[in-house]
Amino acid sequence: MAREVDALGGQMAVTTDHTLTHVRRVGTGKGPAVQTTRAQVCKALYPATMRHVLERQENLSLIEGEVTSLGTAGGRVEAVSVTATDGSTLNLSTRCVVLTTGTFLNGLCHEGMSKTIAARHGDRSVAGLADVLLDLGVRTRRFKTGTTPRIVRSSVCFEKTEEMPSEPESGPLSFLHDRFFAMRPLLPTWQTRTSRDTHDLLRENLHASAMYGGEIEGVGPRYCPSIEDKVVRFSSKESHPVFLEQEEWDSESVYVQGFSSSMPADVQLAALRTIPGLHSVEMIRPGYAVEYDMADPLQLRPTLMSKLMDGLFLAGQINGTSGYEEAAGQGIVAGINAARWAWDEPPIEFSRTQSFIGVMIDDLVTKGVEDPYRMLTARAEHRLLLRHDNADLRLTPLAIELGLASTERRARLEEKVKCMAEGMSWLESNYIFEADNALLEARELAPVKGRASLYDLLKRPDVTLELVEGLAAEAGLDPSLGLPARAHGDSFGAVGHSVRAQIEIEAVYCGYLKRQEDEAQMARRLDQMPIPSEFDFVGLNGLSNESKEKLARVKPTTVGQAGRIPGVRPSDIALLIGHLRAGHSSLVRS
Amino acid sequence: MGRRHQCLQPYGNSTRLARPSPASAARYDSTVRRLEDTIVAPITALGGPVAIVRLSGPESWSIARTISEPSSSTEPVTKAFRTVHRTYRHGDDGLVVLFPQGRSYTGEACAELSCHGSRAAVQELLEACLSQGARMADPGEFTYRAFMNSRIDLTQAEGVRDTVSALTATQLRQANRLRDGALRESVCRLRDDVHSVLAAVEASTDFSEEVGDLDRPAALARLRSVASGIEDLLEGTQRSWLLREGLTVAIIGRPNVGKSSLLNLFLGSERAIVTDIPGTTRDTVEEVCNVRGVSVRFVDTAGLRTATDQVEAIGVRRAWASGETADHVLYVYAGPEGWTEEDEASLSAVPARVTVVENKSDLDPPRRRYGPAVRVSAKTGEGVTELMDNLVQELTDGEPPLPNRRHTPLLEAALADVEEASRTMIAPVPDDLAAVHLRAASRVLGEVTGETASPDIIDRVFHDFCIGK
Repeated sequence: MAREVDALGGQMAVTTDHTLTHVRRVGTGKGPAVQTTRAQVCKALYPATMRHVLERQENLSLIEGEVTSLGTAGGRVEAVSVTATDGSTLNLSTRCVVLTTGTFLNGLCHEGMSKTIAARHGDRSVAGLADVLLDLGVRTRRFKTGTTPRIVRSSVCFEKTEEMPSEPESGPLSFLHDRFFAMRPLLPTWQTRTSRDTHDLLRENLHASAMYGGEIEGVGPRYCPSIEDKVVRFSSKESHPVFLEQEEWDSESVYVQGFSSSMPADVQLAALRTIPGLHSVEMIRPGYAVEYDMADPLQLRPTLMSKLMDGLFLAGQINGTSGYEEAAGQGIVAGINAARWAWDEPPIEFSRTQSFIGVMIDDLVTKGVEDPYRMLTARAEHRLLLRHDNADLRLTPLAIELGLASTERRARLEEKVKCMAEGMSWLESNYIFEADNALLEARELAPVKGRASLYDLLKRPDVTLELVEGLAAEAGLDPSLGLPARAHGDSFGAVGHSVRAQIEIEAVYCGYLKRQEDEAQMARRLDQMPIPSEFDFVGLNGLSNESKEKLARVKPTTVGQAGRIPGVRPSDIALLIGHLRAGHSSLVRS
Repeated sequence: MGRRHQCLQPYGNSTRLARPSPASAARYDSTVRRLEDTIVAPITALGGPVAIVRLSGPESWSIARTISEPSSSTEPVTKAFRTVHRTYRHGDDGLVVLFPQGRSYTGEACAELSCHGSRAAVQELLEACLSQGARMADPGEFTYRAFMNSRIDLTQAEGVRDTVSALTATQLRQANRLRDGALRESVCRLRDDVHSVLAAVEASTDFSEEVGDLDRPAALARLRSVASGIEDLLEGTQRSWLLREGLTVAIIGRPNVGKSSLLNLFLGSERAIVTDIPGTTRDTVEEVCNVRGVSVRFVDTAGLRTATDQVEAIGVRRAWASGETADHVLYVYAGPEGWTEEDEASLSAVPARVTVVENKSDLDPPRRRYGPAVRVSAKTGEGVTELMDNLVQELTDGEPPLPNRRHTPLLEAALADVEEASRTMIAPVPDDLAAVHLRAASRVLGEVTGETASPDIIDRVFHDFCIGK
């Protein structure tokens, strides 16, 4: 999703490439669609850089303060009131507002049995805005998220952990970059594991945890549970991995990834000290849980504009998601559509078949959320098409159309498309002949009959592009005539690196890609059958009351979306299509 | 139903959804009106001493009460449903059985009203119901509602249809098993297994740090068991179709060996003309009869020889053609003449499964005999029982399989995807690719039970129903 945000002209990946402290490839060997790059950024540098970017943005004014109320008239947003830090109140007239409240809305921090009204360490929470939303008819619920203890670097015995060095060969995150621009040498991450002792200790102290002590009513993220949750839910596991991540180059603060907790500080420290490498660890600050208000995303349109109030957009944790990339993905969609709303331009919807952003938003507005939503590759049914390496091919054309892509981004995309076409046609029009079979045998590859194009060879599961190049060279062909050069050192040679990856993936998975493309095509057809916004689902004769309720609650905008609502059956969709086809005008309230 | 595989769900069939025909639109339209209405139809055949009329839908109880009044007892007979003896306002009387929502055949509130079986009595009762706002049920509408209300799945609906239309004991046995949910159960179990492997694949890709790498041997073992489960279901489906649609048995042999006499004997009537003149049967003669519960179409053919005229020549050609298309062939020779070189040649030219029959066992024993031939006498009937036993054995081969013509291609597609997924478990390819096949397998298996079936497939299943079912 970070790559998708980048492909749309977003800032996240650009800033990451400049401020990262560690980078690693994740999911290698699991398949092209689930393989991604994980970057850690400098905790001080990233927000400072982002702030700098915002401050330099033309036509953007930054005001720091608390949003206290919304001015509305005739079902539309008209103004927003902000109490600035100096206590003065500003009334800003506006056609749209994007609310990104994070954990601030009625934020409540828990550490063991002690509670603090705060959005996070050192930030006060916001109360008044929640009432504004309630008055609009927004359904709110309490969600919970957690953070890990921060420990002192010099108190860690790194020899007892496994060092995981950075992997700069994973390449930059932004499609605009050929390399990283890290300020200092990249840092490693260290892996260690919880032990049986850790689990025993946590289990004995469960009564003292905010979560199990009954202090927290909010629902926590199912897919990144706190350490006490893991101990309870996966009681058969003897150990859970823990990653130690340095937050800044020079700081002593180390983040204990995989160990978020709302236990009392003394229990957290004792539990940490049962982990190899942390026997004499000191804590800078214990982990804690935060409870906050979220708004039911079923009340949102796929543009992230509220169904209850025109011009009101919501993005990020307020919509029930958890995670930075999830927030960024919604941020850019809400931003794009808020701008278009302000200009009276038609909204942009993101399809499930085109992006993870589309999958996420469709999930949110169709299925709602029961617990903090985290993107998983498994959520995308056509994920082979939604790879991180082709995010630019999927989304940058849209960014160009919307005016979000810089000249440079546009030029790089065009260059990539051109190089891919050239590379493909070179591979397809050059051959290895039966006479060259000795070259194949030398590499323990099956021989060819007659001849085989280089592209056909590349389709074999055990053949890489590099290998094909070697073969071609020995067979008297010059790969540099068709293919961009390999990456060397920290330079990825303009777009060459990603072009090579593209060609390789397209060849190896061509059958699968074709199949998913066909499926996506069919899915799009259902998504292109619109349901009028004033369609009366309750008056839809022939459906069970249960299905009617579900449809009426979600108010899907297309037949495709209706079919994805949990509990709505194919036969219900048959009836719905029948109604739409038969043109039951009586069901459309005028 | 197990929610929500909807990510994989309706896409497979959307091509059909996306291209409406005016007729299907009209059909959906009628479907649309359906479920809100209270419907009524006789559920017994006319002409018996007692008939039963069923009401289903929200108004069924109130209609039943309005058109009747308590006669002897007003106490409910059982708790599961209420049986009340009532007199209808038009004068007839009978039992009214009230089924509450969720505990009836359709899953809706239902009332079953018995009355006397005459056409006039049933008609009066129906009209009483119609006058209170019920509408006549369309063919299959009760079962359609049972499906829509998740009382049964699509295979069980097919079982109902097949039970009603069963002609033979074998067809009935098969239909009963479908209706009981035997196929539903097997397919759901297979689908669950596919899902568990899919879940393992997804977990290992999304949470490799927590759950570790995919246990490929375990996944492979599970997929192999799914594949063999599907194969078991598919085994003998060819035969299953034959049983459902009926079998064709061609009677073939040289002229004047008694083929037509055998046909007449099977039918118990003088259907084919029988003379001593070789070549009497010049065209094929077909007749259906029930052999031990299997519907069999016997085809009597012209004797195989070099024809003496054009008509007979065509007949002989047809005989050969019958031998080629039949599901089974009875190759007949006559005892007194014995097994000849010509027979040997003809037999080897017949592609179908063959039972060789030695006719005229009442006459002198042959000089040369075909070893495993079944000896019969069309004249005395001797050996016919053994022949029929032999035939049924050959035709049915034990328990009939479950899948029908709709299920088989789906199961085959699922099998292909499961096998592909298994291959990816052995090959040096990413786990992710297995997920593509597993999702596809799940979708087609869901089409069998109707969980992921498109509207027109559902429509087609209910197309062949009769009124009152």
